[in-house]
Amino acid sequence: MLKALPSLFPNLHGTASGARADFYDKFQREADEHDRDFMKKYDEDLNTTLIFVSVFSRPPRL
Amino acid sequence: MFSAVTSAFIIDVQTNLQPDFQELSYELLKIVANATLGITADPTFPKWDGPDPTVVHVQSILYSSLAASLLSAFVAMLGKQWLNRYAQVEMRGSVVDRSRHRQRKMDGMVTWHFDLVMECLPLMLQAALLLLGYALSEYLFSISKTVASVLIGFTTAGLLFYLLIVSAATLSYNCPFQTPLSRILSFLIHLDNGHKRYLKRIRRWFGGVLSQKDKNRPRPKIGPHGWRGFGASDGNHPDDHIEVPMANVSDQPNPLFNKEADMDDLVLDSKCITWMFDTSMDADATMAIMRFIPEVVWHAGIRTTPLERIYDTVLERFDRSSGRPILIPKLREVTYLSAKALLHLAIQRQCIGNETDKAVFKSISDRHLIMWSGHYEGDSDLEVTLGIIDRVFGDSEPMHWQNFTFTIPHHIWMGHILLYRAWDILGKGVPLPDYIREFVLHSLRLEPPPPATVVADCLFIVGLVLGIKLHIADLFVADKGCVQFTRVRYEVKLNCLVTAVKSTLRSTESTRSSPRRSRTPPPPLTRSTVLWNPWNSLLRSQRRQRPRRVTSCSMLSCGPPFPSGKHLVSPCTGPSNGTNLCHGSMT
Repeated sequence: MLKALPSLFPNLHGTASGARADFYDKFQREADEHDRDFMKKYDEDLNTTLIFVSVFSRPPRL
Repeated sequence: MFSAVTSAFIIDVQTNLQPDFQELSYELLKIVANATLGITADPTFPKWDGPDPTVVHVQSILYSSLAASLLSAFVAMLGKQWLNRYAQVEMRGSVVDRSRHRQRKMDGMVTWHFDLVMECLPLMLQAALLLLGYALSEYLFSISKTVASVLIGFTTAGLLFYLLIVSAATLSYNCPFQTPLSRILSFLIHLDNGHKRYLKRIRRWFGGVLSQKDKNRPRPKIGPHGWRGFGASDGNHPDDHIEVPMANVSDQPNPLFNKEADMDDLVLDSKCITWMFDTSMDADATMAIMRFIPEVVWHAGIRTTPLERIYDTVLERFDRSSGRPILIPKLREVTYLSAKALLHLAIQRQCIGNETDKAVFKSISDRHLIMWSGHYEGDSDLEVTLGIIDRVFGDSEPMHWQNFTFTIPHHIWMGHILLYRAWDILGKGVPLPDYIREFVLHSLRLEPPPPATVVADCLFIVGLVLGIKLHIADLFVADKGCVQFTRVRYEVKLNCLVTAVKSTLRSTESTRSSPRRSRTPPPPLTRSTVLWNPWNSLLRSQRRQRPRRVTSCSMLSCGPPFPSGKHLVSPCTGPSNGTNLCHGSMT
């Protein structure tokens, strides 16, 4: 019964509906903003790590 | 200044691992010098018996420190690549496709604990620093205890400080001295809680599966259309099914899912919605989310739903300071959309009936506050939606449909929603609640008649109550919005259904003592006259012994129309609660 159920529901998929487009428009904007922050945070973290490592274990100039 | 910290010490200590060649050559020179001067002395070669164990210990720790820092550099390099891959837009396509793709990647990040891995990186570096401090202290300790004590003091102080910071930051989220370790610790503590919950869920799930197995055993076989029927029969008498072949019927079992309904896409849709809920709650986004929710099929493959949060969103829109719910006027639109979304989601998930949902429903029902109050100045759509919410989560008291005038799209939407509700309720063996029955009667009585979809939905509900076996495809509507295009299909279906319902009823009527009554069209509706009550007549025929007769309608298979009475509605209590069905509107 559970398997059959999904097809009971009115299915609006595939039709270009305004609500879907509207939602994804907003979603995209939100996601872009989030991803920019996300990338920036980790990128800076990684840079710090790399700099620290290069300083910490650089072979000495003899 | 800080340069060459590890490497310098490594090279410095490295010399102690090998025999001291300087000392050796010094000794040899001494022997040569003595020989030329004619001094004979016993030549003593310095003896090398391996490096000092302390030096070996120190050196290995230094190397591990170096290795740890190099390893973290390696992971950092990979991490940059991972990040770039995440940022890269790999596909061209519509906004929808790209958003879904992005959400999939984001989900991957969460599932695979990308955060945790990234937080571990600085941790490795900190460990490397600690190891260096320890190794140096130990090395200096073997050379000079005074110098070593200074270093040991500072290392210990640093370590204590770090531990203090970590514990403070772990215990308090607000503490500004957040370090990777504290984040990981708090994550682990959180994980522990989640873990327990997970275990509990698994246990409940297993319990559910076991009990379901028992329940499944006496169930009937799947019918010719791969569908058990609408639960209107107890299934012990397969012959008792009334089967109505509808439009486009074929012997092939219907595909479970429509081809264009990509269930994975819907899962992604739901995840996008959940993520959006988590990220942004400004008014615009809320409107977009709420408008979008009814477009998603919340099928069983979707594990988590934002049901509770939508409920809270709806609840927040009311001012309860005066004891009764008063809607904040500015928020009318968003409340209406949220209420629709809530109903849509709730009713679909109730049909699916999975265990987590049941817990959510229970918690909502426990704290449900009445939302409906009749002062929305003619805003029937909103009022009715709130009324149905009250009935879904609270008590199902009757509703006075005749007081409302809805817009047509709302009416169509409501027909669908109530059909699912009826399907769910009847499937569980509970009689049809009054408000759905009255909705059917009200809609069929309306003048001018409601759109074909509403009539179809109402007839389907009637069919469910009568125990008429319907095909899945008959419930399936490709696009609610395009009634015009699907109209032909609907009319075929409607005709079949009307014929089926009518002949079912006629066969009942003819077994009654006065068959004449079914023929005579009822007088115009007045509230006080009981015209022709299908529900009552059904019950009456039910109580009588079931005569076997072949109906004249070729669409009905033979057999008594009402195999079991458990899904029939309760007898109506009086003429005033609107149990009259207008015979004329059915024809």
